[in-house]
Order: sequence, then C-alpha cells, then structure tokens
Amino acid sequence: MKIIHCSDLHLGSKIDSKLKKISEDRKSEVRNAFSKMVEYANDNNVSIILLSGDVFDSDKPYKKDKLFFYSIIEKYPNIDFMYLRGNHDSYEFNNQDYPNLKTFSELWTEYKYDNVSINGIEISNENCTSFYSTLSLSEDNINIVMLHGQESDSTGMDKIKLSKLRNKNIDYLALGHIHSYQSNKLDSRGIYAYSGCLEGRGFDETGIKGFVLLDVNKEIKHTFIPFSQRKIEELNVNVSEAKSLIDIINKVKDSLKSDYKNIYRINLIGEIDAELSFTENDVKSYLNEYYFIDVKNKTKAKIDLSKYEKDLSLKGEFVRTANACEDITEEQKQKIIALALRLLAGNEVDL
Amino acid sequence: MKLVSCYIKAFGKLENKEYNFSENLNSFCEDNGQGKSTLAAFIRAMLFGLPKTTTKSFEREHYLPFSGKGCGGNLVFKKAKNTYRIERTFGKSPKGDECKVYVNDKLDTSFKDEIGSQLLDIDLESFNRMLFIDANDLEILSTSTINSKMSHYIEDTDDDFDLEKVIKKLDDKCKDIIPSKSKDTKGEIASLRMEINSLETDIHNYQLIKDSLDSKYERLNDLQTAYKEKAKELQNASSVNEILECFNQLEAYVNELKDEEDKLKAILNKYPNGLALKEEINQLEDNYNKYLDLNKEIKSLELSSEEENEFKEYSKMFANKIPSVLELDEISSLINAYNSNTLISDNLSEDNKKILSKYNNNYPSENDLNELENDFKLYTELNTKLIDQVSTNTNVVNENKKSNNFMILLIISIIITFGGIILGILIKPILTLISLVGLVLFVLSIIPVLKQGKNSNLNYNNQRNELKEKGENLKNKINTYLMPYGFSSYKNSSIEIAYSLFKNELEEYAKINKALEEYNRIKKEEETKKKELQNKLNEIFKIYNLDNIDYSNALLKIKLGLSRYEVLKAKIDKINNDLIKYNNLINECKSYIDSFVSKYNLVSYDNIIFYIQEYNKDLTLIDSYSANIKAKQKRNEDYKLNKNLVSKPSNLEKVDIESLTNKLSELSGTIKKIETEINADELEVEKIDYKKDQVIELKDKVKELEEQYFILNKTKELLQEAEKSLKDKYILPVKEKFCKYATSLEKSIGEKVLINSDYELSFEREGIQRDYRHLSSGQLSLAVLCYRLALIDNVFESINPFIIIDDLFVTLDETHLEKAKDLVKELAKDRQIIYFTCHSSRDIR
Repeated sequence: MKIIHCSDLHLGSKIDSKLKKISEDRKSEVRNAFSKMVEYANDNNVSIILLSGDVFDSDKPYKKDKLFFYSIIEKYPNIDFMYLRGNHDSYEFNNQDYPNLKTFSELWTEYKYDNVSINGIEISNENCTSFYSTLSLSEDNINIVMLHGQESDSTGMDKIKLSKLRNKNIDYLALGHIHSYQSNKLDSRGIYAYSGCLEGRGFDETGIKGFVLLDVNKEIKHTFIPFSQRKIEELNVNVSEAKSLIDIINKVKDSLKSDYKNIYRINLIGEIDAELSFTENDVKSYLNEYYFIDVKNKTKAKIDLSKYEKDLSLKGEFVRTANACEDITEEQKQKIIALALRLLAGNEVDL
Repeated sequence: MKLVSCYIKAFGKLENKEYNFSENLNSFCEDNGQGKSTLAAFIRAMLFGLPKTTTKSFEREHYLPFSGKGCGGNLVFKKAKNTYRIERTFGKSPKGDECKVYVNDKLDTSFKDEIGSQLLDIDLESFNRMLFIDANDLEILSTSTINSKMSHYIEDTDDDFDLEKVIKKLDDKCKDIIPSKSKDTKGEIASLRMEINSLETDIHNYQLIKDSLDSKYERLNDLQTAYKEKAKELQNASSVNEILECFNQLEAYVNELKDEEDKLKAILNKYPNGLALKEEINQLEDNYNKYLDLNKEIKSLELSSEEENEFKEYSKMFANKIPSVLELDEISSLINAYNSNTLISDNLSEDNKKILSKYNNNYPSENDLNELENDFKLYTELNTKLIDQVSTNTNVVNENKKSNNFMILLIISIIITFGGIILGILIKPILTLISLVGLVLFVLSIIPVLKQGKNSNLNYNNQRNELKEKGENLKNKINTYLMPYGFSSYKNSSIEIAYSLFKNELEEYAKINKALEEYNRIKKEEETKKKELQNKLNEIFKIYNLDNIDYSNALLKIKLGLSRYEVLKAKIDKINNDLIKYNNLINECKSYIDSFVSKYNLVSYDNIIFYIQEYNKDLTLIDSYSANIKAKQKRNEDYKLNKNLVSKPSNLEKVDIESLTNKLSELSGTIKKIETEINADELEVEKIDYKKDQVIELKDKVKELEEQYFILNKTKELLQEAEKSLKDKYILPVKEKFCKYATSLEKSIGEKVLINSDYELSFEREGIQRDYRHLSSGQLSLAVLCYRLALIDNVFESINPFIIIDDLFVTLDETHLEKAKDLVKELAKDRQIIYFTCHSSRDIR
C-alpha cells in the first residue's frame, strides 16, 4: 500500500509581500502543487493521502479555495483523503459528503485498511494535555498517527511532546505545522516526520519542499519526494573584495550559478570601500535573467580610521569628529562616514 | 626640528654627496639640472620613504640610479634634545628597501617606514602641502581662486571637493524627504504617510467586507439548506404526480387496447362464411392466375400470317422431294464442277506473241536457211585461215631475232680480229693469235647472217589481204540475210553472235507453234464436258421448281427453304401438342376456383381479384391489430407491474410542481447572487493581506527615510562641525598669524594684504579695500608664503620644523624680489629654511 503524507497546503494564504511582483504566479503554483501531487498519487497507485493539518490558511476559507479542494477530492474517488485540521483551519466545516474524505475530531479516530491503522486527533485546549494517554494502539497493527503541532518539550495547545508518544506502538507519526521536511526516530519502533509544505510562499520558507511517500508493507519505508516547482533560497554573498559594481554582480552570479528558475534573496555582506557607490536596484538590474531576485545590501563601509588620524584636511577632521561622536550608534557612524566620504569624492547622495 | 646634514650615496643624479645645513638660512644656488630638486626629494624620501611604482607614481623609478645599486644615504636632524639619523637604501620595490633610525647614535627599532609622520605628526601629503613650497604651487594658487583653496583650509589638496555643494546635496536630499517643518503634506515621508493612511482606510473597508462575509457565508449556507429542502419537497411532489400520471397513463393504455380490438372485430364481420386461410387464398390466387395465363397461352399458340405463307411456299418447293443432306452435297459438287470447268487460255507471253507475229508470215525458206548456213561455215573457215597465217608470221620474226645475235657475234669477232692485230703490232707479236680467234668467230657468225638475208615477208602479206577480202564479202552477205529479222554484225557486235541469236529464235518459234497446237486440242474437250454438266443440273433444279437461275443461288434457296420448312413444321407440331396440354390444366384450375367460390359464397369469377385484394388488405390489418392488441396487453401488464399499480388511491391529488420549481429556481438565483457577492467580496478581502503588507512596507520605508533623514542631517551637522573645528583649530590662528606676516611683508608686497572672517583675501590701496585678484602674481606668491608660514606656525607649534622653499620668487620683479629676500632672511632668524634657486639674482646669502 502506498500512502502520501503532506501538510500545510495553506490554501488561500497570501504570498510574501517581498514577492509581490510574482505573487499571482506563485499563488497558482502553490495551488497547483496540491492538484499535481494528487495526480502523482493517482498515477503511482497511492491509495491514501494524509493531510496533517492546515489545508486551508483560515478557519473560514474562501469559497473558491474550498471548491478547489473538494472538487479534487470528488475527482479522485479511488484515493482516500485523511483530512486532519490544524491550527489555521481548525473550524473548517464542509456540509457536503464525500465517501473518500475521512475527517478527525477532538477524539481519537481510527480508520483501518487491513492491518494498517490510521489514527488522528485534532489538538484543542481541552485535549492538548490528555490526548497522549488516550492513545491506544495494537502492537500487531501497522500504526500511523496524524497530529498537527510544534514539536516541544512541554504539552499544550499546538504543542507535541514526542517523549509522551514513545512506546505507543507508533510506526509512523505524520506531523504537520512545520513548513520544512524533517524526520527522526521516535522510539525503537517508529519514526516521526514533518512533511513540510508543498511550495514555499516567502523567504521564511526557503529550501526544498515536497511530501513524504510511504510504502507500507510489513513495515513502513518513507521517502521524501521533492515536489516544489521552484526553490526559495536566501544566500549571503560576501563582496568584501569587490572594487566595482561589476565585481559585485560577478560575485552574486558565481553564487547563483545558472539555476534561473528559483527565487532568491541575496544578502550582500562584507566590508566594501566606503567610496564604492551602488544601490540594490543597480545590482538587480544586472540579474534580469533570473526568475526573481531580491537584493539586500548588508555590507559595511570599509573605513580605515588610522588613515585619517593625521589627515589635516576637512576629510580627516570630519572622520575624526564623526568617530568621536557619541550620540549615534556604530552603524549610523559607519553610514555617516561612508556617505560623507562618497559625497566629498564627488558622488551623489545614494542612501 | 632642524636638519643637520645629509649624505647621498646615490639618489637620482646625485652621487656621493654630503650636505651640511645651518640652523637658519641654507641657500643653494645652482643651475637647473644640478640636483636641487633631487636634494629636496631626497630629504622627503629619507623622512617618508619612496612610494611603490604604479601607473600614477613614477617617483621611485625616477630616483633609482640606472645601476640600481646603492640607492640611498642618510639624513641627520635634531628634534628637541635628540639627534636622529635615518639611514635608508631603496630597492626596485618597497620590499627591497631598508631603513634604520638611530637616536643619539643608538639604533631605534620602534620607527616604521614613515618616520617623518611619526616625528612631524603629519602625513606625507600634509608635509608636501605645508613644508615643501615651490613655485608651481604658487602658480596654481595665483591662477586659481585662492579664496576657494583657503576654504579648503589646506592648500594643494588632491581632492577637488566643494563643501558647499556637499552641504547643498545633503540639504536637497533632506528636503526631498521632509521639505520643511511647516509643510507636512509634501516630501517623501509625508507622501508615504498619506499612502499609509489611504491603505489603512482601504484595509478598514476591506475588513468591513470581510466581517460581512461571515453573515454571507451563513446566509449562503442557509440558502443551500433551504434549497436542499425545497428540492426534496419537489422530489416528493414529483413522485405523487408521477403516481397519478402513471394511473392516467394506464387508463389511456387500456383505451388504446379497446380501440384495437374494435377495429379487428369490424374487419372480421366482412367475412360471414369465415375467413379463408392464407394458404387457401394463395392457392385461389395461384389457380386463378394460372387459369388466366393458360387462356392467354392458348391464344398465343398460332402461326402468324407470314409464317403461314412461308410454310405454304416451302411446302410447294418440296412437294416433289425433300432433299437429303447427301443429295444437297452432290448438287453442290456438280455446281462446283460446272463452275470450275472454264476454258484454259493459251498462256503465251508477250515475247512469244512477238516471235509468232514476226515469223508467221515471214518464215525463211529451207533453201535460204541452207545457203545461210553454208555461207556462215565458209566465213568461219576463212577466219581460221587468217589466224593460222598470223601464227606463221610470228615464227619468222623469231628467226630474225636469232640472226641479230649472230650479227653481234660477227661484230665482236671483227673487233677481236683487228684488236689482236693491233696488239700484236703494238705489244707482242704473239698477241696476233688473238686475231685468229676473232677470225674463227667471224667465220662462224657470218654463215647464219647470210642465210637470214635470203627469206622475205612479201608473200605473207599478199595472202592475208586476199583472205580478208573474201571474209568481208561473206559477212556482208550474211548481214543482208539476217537484217530483216533484226540481227546483224553491226547490231550484235559480231556476225557470229548475230547468227547464233537468229538460230535460237527460229528454234523458239518452232517450240511455240507446237504448244499452241496442244492448247487447241484440250479446249475442245472441255467445252463438251461443260455442256453435259449443264444439262444434268437443269434436270435437278426442275424437281424443286427452279428454272433458268444461277445454280449456286438455287442451291442456297433450297438449303434455306429446307431449314425454315423444318422449323415451321416443328412449330405446328408443338402447337397441336400444347393445345391438348393447356386444356387439361385449365380444367384443373377451374375445378379449384369453382369449389372456393361455392365454399365462401362468391358471386362470380369477375370479383375474385378484388376479393383477394380485399382479403390481403384485411389480413394485414388483422395481423397488425392482433399484434398491437398482444403488445398493448403486454405493455399494460408490464406497466402495471413496473409502476406497481394495483388500484388507484382515492386520496392522492396532483401537486403544483411549477410553483415548487419556481421557488427552487428563485432560491438558486439567490444562491448564485450571494455566491457572486461572496466571490467579489473574497477578491476584495484577499487584498487585505497585501494592503497590510504594503502598510508595513511603507512604515518600514518611513522609518528608513527617517533614518536616512537623520543620517543626512547628522552627516551635514558633523561636516559643519568638522569645518568649524578645522576653522577653530587652524584657520583662526592662521588668520592671526597671516595678519602678523602680512604686516611684516607690507613693505615687500607694497600693499596691505588682509584676510577677513570668511577667509577672503583682499588688499588695501589708497584707503580702499580691493579684491585679491588685483594683486600681481609676485605679490600673490608672497601672500601665499605668509599663509603657509601662518599655517606652519599653527600646525607645528612646538616643533618649529624646517621649510624647503624651491625657487619661490621666480615671478617677482627686482624691487619686490629684494624685499622678499629680506623677508626670508628675516624669517630665517628663528627657523631653518632650505632655499633653492637656479639663478644668482634670486640667491639669498
């Protein structure tokens, strides 16, 4: 039996405002990720899809998102969808009946497929400390448990204390809430895994996204399947050695290589010559071949204070005065000195 | 700080040179190219080292000797109570440099390369700008705005910046962000805040829409529930109506069945004696049709009038006899024989006919032919004789050739004889014997020669002419005879040929005559035979009444007539047989029809066809009605069974479906409307997050701009503070010192030079303050010297460093130069001045 474990579709959620330019494209890519995954399931004889919470981004999802989700369920009657609600869609209610849609509640619910037992509970204020003790699984079954919450050392709302789930005969703990894939041993028998989301929506969801494919036979073999159309990446590029804008561009291109379809945020770091004048847009304008690039200039101006110690000119006097100034932060000091030096070198104001 | 001495091992063009410096004025007057500038550069290099050679700096390359060895030297100077000695060697790059500093003759390793910087507390640039004064600097100052340079506080800077412009740029940018405190609606921050306000209003409005969405979702839910209920009601009503409809339908079906049964009964009533079986009708139809067909057939069994006439004609022809095939073949053979017995022709060719006509009336007589034959024989003999004579004459010629040989031998014998005699006389007598041999030969040859001389050709010629003449006569005679028959020696090349042709033609004529006789005999026999055949054939054709006609046509007529006669005869026989057979069959048909008519009470034969037609039509209808009745009976039963129709309930009433459908459709319309509203609202609400993001973004931007504004203001503030500090530190004291030096230079300059609080230079003439640009370049150079001195006094308060002046007064006129010299001398009283000039007029000693 093949099972897919995924979570955190967050249908209807907004795209990071930093990706405003591509937000419409991205929205449809996030939405399509789910339908493509179900197509994948259909093509690969997957009989069950575990949805470990946060299918929708809101308790009251948009009508169109509901229509999209439930129409897919209706379209694939051969696949059973195990829909466990998460903290985002905890009140989602659907008044339509679909035989292949299996839901959960604040009590443990079990669905059995021969010797495979799929159990799930939706964590609430009432059950968040007690659900551990009410879980009872047969040793002889292959037990899959679905939960939505943050792995934690304590119990509580939206929290999962893994230690309390040990030695409960769990073979696979299908978790949702964290948007990146992670997996580890739960106890001597089972493992736990966060499948992560299917597509990143902003720079807080970087890295490879996808779902977990479970091959359930006498035991469970799990494989993470990278499935996202694009990867969101945040890269720090040290441009300390750069003497010009072109040097900076080349450094950035070296770090990006030719992976044009991904979404990047480039943090320019390091210390550069205080008199080297450029803006973030200057850098971006040279990287048009990439699908999306956001550039943050986090460089510091390289100012050799000792060079100005004995400079009797205004430049020297200014650097000494600014350096001695106590009512500004070090960062402001740096900016002020760099700006003044660039201005005195004949450049325009380029803050 | 004062220089004591220096030793130049090698530096530029200077090698192994030592200089000692006094504590006051040190004037070096040398021609150009003698190393004044190099010495000045050496002092600077000792203090600050040489920079690395780059595309912009060639100093190191310039001062390294070509040999590249031993570049360097030492410089001794005093500062406070210490004596310093710097020893340096320079390589091609700074890596190859070595530097040692001795303080009071003790090596001090605490110094780095830029020793000057450590000791003078200024960098190389400041050293160049203050302690190193040359005419080029003054040149720049004199041509550019000194005030501008003064504003930079330090002359000769490489940076060509303008603080005012910088401050303006900062101010402009600040104004872009916040134009002025009073106008808070303009500027980038104000515009962003307005945008934020607008967005927040939008967000508020969208939030209202979002809040209203909940009730719309609820309403939609209620409507969908109501729709479901109404749909269910409609479904129930439909089923009631359906049941009623089913009973109505069943009733209709029963009526339909009854109609069919009535129709069937009506048709069956048309047949009171019962409905004949289909087989009976088929048989009746067959017999009736057969009866009609047989009658038609009997009518058709007669010969046509043409056939009858034809039969009569042939009956007459063959009344006497009907010929057998054998007899017809025999007649045919006779006709063939008769036709083939045609008279043969004489078969004479045109040539034969010509020969016949040539000799029939002109055949030579026997005597003529004999005489001709004799003449020709004689002529042949004469010719033979002539030929023999020619042969004899040939032998005579041969004899003459032999006698000629003897004649040659005779001449040779005479020559030998006479030769022997001459030889005997002239040489030896014995040789006369040779003449004897000659004599013998003479004798032997003379005899045949003499014999030959006796014979003659005369007789031969006479005989020959005679024979010829005779032959010619005979020839003419033969020609005369042959010519009437077309032959002659003239025409046929010779008389022999002509004669031979004539003879051949006579033989041919005889052959033709013989063949002609045979032909006439056969012709007579054939004519007799043909007459007999004709008689025989006439007799035969008379039997068939055919006279005087072409035998072949007559035979053909007999053959065709016989064939046709036989066909007609067979036909007549068949008609007679068929008549008997058809009459029997007609009787059989009539028997069946009569029995059917009596069974089903039919009136006559005439309406049988109509009866059959009606029966068939009715039978189709009966079949159709029967099948329909059966199908409808089954349909009714099935329908009752399927619809479970036992008995019609009395309490059921028809429900108004239309009103229910309308209500449902109304609900559906409302749902769609709400859905459309929700869709539109959702589209709007979706924007909230982006609007919120935008607000956050704009607020961040405001913060950023505020920070920028702060940075810009602070930069401006710090620049102004630095400027003030610089002024406080350098310019004000400089101004005071400048005034002091300017006063002491007043005589040298010839004008009273002033500097105001804005550091603008001016001079006073005739009580009027004038712009410094009215000063001459010489005056200006002195003013700048004052400024430098003022600067040095302020920067180096305790050090009192040496000054290097490199031919500063090049542009001064003689009067001012002298005064300037005096000034330098005066200045040198309390400071060390290293003065270089290339002209003795400017030398200060």
